[in-house]
Amino acid sequence: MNFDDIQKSWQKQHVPELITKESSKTMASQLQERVNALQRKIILTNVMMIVVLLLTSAVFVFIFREGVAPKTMWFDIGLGVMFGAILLSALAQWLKSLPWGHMKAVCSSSMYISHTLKSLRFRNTSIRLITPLQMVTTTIGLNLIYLDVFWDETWKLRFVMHVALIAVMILVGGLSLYYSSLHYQKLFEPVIKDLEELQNKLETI
Amino acid sequence: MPDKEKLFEQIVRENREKLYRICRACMPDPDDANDLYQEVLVKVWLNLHTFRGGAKLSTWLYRVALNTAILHKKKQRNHTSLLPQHISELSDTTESGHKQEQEALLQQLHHCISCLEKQDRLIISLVLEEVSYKEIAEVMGLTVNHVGVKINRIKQRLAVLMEQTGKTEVSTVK
Repeated sequence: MNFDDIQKSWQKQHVPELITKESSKTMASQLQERVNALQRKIILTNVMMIVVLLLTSAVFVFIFREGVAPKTMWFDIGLGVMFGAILLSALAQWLKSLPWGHMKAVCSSSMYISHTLKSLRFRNTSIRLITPLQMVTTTIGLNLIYLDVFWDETWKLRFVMHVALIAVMILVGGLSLYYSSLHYQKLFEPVIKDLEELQNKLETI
Repeated sequence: MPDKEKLFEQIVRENREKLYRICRACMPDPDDANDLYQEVLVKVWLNLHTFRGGAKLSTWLYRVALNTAILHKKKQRNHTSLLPQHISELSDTTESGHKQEQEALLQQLHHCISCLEKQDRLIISLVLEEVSYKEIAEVMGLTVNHVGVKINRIKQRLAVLMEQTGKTEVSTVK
């Protein structure tokens, strides 16, 4: 058999009908949609966070502070520490959780993918570092407020109240971090993994 | 975006068979070849915007396919190749006839190609697709003369392998 015969046989070979549409162009566009949906969710979460922050500040400053009538400066220092920490954390979330300047989703652009990955990974940094730090600072702020609120009470009661506050904060903080990391694993990690794969594919061309 | 989709669909429609056969040359196992083919299409879709029209579309497509194949091979080191025994089993179990002969020949050819060096497999797949030496040289990043010499050697090696597997097949049947 000569090479021409081999060539003819080769070109006649059966090519199976393969799914092309779903697996190729859609992989990128579906991922693009998922990234968009996740970013919309992040924006919504950030907006909600600011609304809650403003409402809580208003309640503390205009209702709680008026009702309690602070006896010492520790109350205001506590308020400042607590809202300062929350505000800084919220600002970091706003600035870092979205790829500002690269918001137009183009999954065929490695620059867009790189910025998006950076912003999505920030969520993990936030759960591991920023949120625990913010919680610790908030607890310190609340303890300072408690210091003022129970200023005239017995040492025993003040001690119990501070311990109870810390216990509640640890419980709430722990649960919040636990559910945040579950949420991250469920929503963020699959998208990050797919984006990383896409980035690798783009880099290999 | 719709233009991109149309262009992509047109490219796939016109080149799917060639691309699949190149993938098949790189991957002896049909399932692996399918995976590679899908990956090539993903890369074609993702990198369609990088095609400027400076080179021929076919050259660009082959280059994407070959780059993907090289990378794919790195991931799949433990590929399974069709052994001559499998070819014999296949030709034993199938009914006689031209189509079956053709199928057996193709299986034998795939086995022989799988015995070649990685780069040689890619080159021979392009030769079998009747791609010009000049285009193969562009795709592989080699000179036309170098490609010519390589192709001659590969053809000789392939002929020897075809002869050897043919004999093995006959002796296995006996």
